[in-house]
Amino acid sequence: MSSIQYLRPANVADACELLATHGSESQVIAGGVALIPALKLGKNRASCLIDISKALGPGSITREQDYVRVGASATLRAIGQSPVIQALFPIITDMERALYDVQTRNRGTIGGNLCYAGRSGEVAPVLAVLGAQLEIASSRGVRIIHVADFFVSHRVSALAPDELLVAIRLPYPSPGTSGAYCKEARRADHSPIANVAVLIDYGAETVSIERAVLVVGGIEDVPTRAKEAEALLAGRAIDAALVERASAMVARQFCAAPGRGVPPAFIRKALSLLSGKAISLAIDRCRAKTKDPS
Amino acid sequence: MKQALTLTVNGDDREIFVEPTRTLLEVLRYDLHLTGAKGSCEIGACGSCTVMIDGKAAKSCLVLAGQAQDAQIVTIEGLAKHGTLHPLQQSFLDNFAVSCGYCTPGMIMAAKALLDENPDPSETEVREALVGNLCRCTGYVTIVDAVLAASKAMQDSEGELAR
Repeated sequence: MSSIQYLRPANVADACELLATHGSESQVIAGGVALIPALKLGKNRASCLIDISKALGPGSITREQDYVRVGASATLRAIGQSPVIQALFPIITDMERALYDVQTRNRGTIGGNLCYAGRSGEVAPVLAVLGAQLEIASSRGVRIIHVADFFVSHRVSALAPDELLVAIRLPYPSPGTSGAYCKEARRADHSPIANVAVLIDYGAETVSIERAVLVVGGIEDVPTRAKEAEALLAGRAIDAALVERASAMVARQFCAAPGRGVPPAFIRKALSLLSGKAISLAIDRCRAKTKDPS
Repeated sequence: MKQALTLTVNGDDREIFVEPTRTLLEVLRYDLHLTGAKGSCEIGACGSCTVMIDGKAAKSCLVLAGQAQDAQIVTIEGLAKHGTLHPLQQSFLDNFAVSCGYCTPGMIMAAKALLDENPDPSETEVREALVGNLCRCTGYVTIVDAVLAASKAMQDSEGELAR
């Protein structure tokens, strides 16, 4: 790694200028927990690293009028420990706790995990169900895109070589809404074989589900919505049989995907269990929020 | 290209002239001769290189020297004061939590970061804090015992000081 140039711009404008100059041979480094092993193993051959830690600062979490703004350089641990995130987005704390180990969460950033754009990303399905918007800067200005438009394929995002992700906007959840996240991995601190993020919206009443969003990661090249299961859940009163049917539907939708060394039967079983667990947990949280006695 | 960097290690500012893309682990061991942090897997899987950066446990094989500028770094060498071992170090000895010893500095630094944040952790919290640290000798039981015993000893001595 000694031949690699290392640059540490002092602000976002300088970072964008460097990205525009060095373009595709450069690589942004945030926490570095995924990039540094890739450089050591020769899987990433960038000739220039642009360290954005100084430009973006520690990545604050702030309440804005319509959304919670999370700086892209916020560490996963800081996000998991944030009282704002804990109060509003328990799905994000689920995700943080399931991520690798404390040391990795202390260094790894939310923006880094997102921009790596691997199919086993942990942040991606969660931000997808939350309907997050991404603030992307370049010397041409700032653009905002929906997270669903960010993932192009495995390890490919919509970021142009001269662009930098600076923040994530999380819309405030409505009163009857909550979510949950579950993953299956070979070992607790490994990347997921499959992960499931669910958002359930009970609307004004808690009698039936108004809207459900369910996103599966780890199987397809990009986080993918389980639309059939979503449609099944919407408008229905919840009971154990419905959760079971929806979970089976998720498992059916994704079972044909290439398993990458994992038997299809295992993926089917895992998806069914993860979906059931995540849907049930999200429903419990909705009910706790609206104090539904059932 | 080599650059002059200042790293703050165990409270001292250390000037070094190194490639900023070398890892913090390499710089600690080969430039600053602090060999407590151990290199092993080099890809962040084993935790033997754990140090504290700004009070948080971090794997120094996954941090570049350039990234470690402007941060407070604490290594295992920074724990003992005036020849007296830190209660965690003493507790690892007392509880036979050291076998070959290779993982020990990383274990102790991960445990130190935990106790600084949470002085009275449960056994589960100790185990969660050590998920990123592998030991192939002890089976972890004595290590978890040592951290819990150190936590108790540190709280007892604080209680005595307050009295």
